[in-house]
Amino acid sequence: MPLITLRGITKAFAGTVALGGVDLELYPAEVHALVGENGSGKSTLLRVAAGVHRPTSGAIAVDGAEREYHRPADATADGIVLVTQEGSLVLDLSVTENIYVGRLTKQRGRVDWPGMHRKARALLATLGVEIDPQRPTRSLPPDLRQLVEIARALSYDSRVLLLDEPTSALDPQETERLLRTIRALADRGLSVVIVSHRMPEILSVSDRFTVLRDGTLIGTRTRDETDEAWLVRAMVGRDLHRVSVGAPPEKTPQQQPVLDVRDLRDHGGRLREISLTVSPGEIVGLAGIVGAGRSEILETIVGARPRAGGNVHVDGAPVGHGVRAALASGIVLVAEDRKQQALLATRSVQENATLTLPVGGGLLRRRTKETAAALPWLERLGTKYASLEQPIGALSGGNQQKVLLTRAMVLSPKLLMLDEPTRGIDLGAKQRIYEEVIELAGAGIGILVASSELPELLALCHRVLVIREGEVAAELEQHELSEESIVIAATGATQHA
Amino acid sequence: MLDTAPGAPAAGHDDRAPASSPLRALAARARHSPLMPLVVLWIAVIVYFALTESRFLTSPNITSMLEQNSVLFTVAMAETVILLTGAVDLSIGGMLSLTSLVIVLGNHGIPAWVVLIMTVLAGGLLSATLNGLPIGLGRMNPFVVTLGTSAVFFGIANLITGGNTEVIDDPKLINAISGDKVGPIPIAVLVMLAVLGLFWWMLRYTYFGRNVYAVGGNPEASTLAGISVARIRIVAFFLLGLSAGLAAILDAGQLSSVAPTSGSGLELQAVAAVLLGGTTLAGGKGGVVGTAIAVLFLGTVHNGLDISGVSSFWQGVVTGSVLVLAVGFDQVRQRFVLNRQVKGTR
Repeated sequence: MPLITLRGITKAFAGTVALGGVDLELYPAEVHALVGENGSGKSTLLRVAAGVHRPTSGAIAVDGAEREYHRPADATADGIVLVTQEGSLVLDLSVTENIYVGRLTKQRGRVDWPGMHRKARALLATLGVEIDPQRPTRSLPPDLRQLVEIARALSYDSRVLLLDEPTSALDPQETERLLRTIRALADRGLSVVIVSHRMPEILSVSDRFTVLRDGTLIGTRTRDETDEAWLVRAMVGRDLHRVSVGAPPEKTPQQQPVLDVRDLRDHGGRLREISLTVSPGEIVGLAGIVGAGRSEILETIVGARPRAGGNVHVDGAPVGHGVRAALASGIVLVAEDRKQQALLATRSVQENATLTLPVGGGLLRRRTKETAAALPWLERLGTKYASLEQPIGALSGGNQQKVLLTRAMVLSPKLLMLDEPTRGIDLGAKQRIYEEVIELAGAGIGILVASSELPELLALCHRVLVIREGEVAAELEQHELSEESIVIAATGATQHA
Repeated sequence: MLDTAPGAPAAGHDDRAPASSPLRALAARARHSPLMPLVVLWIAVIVYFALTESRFLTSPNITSMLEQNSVLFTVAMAETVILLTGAVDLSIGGMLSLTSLVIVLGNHGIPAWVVLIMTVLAGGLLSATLNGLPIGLGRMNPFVVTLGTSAVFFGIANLITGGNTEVIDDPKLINAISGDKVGPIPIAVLVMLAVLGLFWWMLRYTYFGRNVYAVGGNPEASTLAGISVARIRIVAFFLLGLSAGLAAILDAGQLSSVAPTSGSGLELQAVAAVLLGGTTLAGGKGGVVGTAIAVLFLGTVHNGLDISGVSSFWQGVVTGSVLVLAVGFDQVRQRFVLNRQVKGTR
């Protein structure tokens, strides 16, 4: 018998139907993957199951008995706990406090700290990690923080764990560890639902797969019946061909690189004498584990982080300090964190697409001229929006990213730098961006792309620089590229386990 | 009866036809404007006092209400820009007191127009250097910096005057600053209109204006797009200083004297009006039209209470309560709208 049965769940928000009659059965001792593009209703379904949203219609049954959840606590009482994408840890509190927040046990009116720490340590041990529970959560790497969240969820004696994109902030090694833990939890009898955009990891860990598209159920299949091709077709509604970059551009000895970076250092000491070149039409990848310094390299080249030493040349001409100088010389960065580093969420699509204009500065706004520069790019990328005056915050992640790519392209850059260009966007948009990047390189633009998704680097790059602890640890030509060669260089391992 | 039934849906259709006339479009926009509740409340207050006090809706009373609020109005416009950049200012009162002393130089034979220009520029320089540079280039916390400069400005003004009120006795200067009426409209009201128009135009039609919203909304994104956060904030504080100088002239014109305490309390009134007008402390959202309505709303309430003979002590209570209630109401409303938007896209 299923542990939980969701039947005919429909959820409408102010007239928009987010879910239309979705069924889902969760069994004990299974990892159940919930997949679908952004906006397909995965998160909404999880929230309905966890009592965050009340369904407009449909029924929830636990152990065969009908339930009605008014608030998350009702679902928690049935052992159903949601771990959200955003994370809900208070980083300045200890691990123990985060796990038992609001439920600290007391003895004679005082918090029983030794007892609490013991309990926390034991709980974490069941997840296969040893963490000092007194440590501030901030001092933990992202994957251990994720485990603390899961430990908190487990501390409610939960039977069903709903994990919304638990691996989105983790690097490949951390992801692998977390997936092993998830597998172990399921083997112990828990029912685990995992939402993720990364195909290989879902395929490796899940027993059953449920695909949603546009708020409707496409189907549920077991592992034996599932392969990547089916999943992609079910999610997107059509076949996607695999994008792959062609041979690198011919290099002639006298040809000047479009970007030439020598001995670059930053003030924080994160970067140690980085040297790299990018030729016109070449796509160069930056690989490395989280914290290796990939983003810092890009941000220092574009002048957003002050340069402490070394120099940057574009087409042989030195680039001055600061972002303005970099933009003027033809370097532009599409940053990693859309919300934090790129979006003006409440401002219009038009304003967001043209924020980099005018390059030389100016007094009076020329909206018509700006729009004329942006529209061809928005159209070329297939950006979907209701109107140019619509706030960008209302668009999906993929469309936001296309607007931000437009913001870079209206400058007609010579060197385009992309940091995690497809993080958190759906497969259709992802493929469109890959195609575009390859096309731009074909037109002679130099491209430098940092990514923690190895398949992304393998599909796009002519050459990959592997960054480790702020240094270029290895340089891999196209024929040397494989997931394994990158991981080995990134971790410094001699042999991949 | 059956004959009319098919006609009924058609009529309903007509009602739902898209707003084609510009008037309807404007009405639709106004209905969805976040300022609507404040405007409705303002109209309600006007109607209430108009019905209860016969003196309220008379031309002299309206004129004097506007004149009395011209100082707050002028500085609140610039304070809006400061909040839009994500900063805050608490020094505008001290700034006004200190710059107003420049006007007294006119007693010593300097031509009136020179004095007025000097006053405005003095405010701008004072604010740009002492507030703008530490906050912009030094990246210091605006709250801390302007809390400090506020005390410094008031202190220096007291030191210079020995704490006394300085009378402006040059008749030409008094003429220049107290201003005549253009037809039935006092100069102060024209100044208010001009300042509002200028700031509105600037925020909407210049790159500086766009960048003000960008810097307040997302400083990191602005930097990566080549916008200098420091420069935008310094210019914003320069504008704040200019408005302090202009407001000092309006203030002196009404009293024919300047005092080291003339601006005290103004900083909090200005911030309160900006917040009441829908601009957020977080920056990047709001505008000067909301601030203008908020100042006039508060002015109307005070004026009405005055006329009704309510103790002036009540005015602070009313202003403060209205501010907290209005901002609280707005947050509830926003959460509602935002929830709907976010969920709608899923």
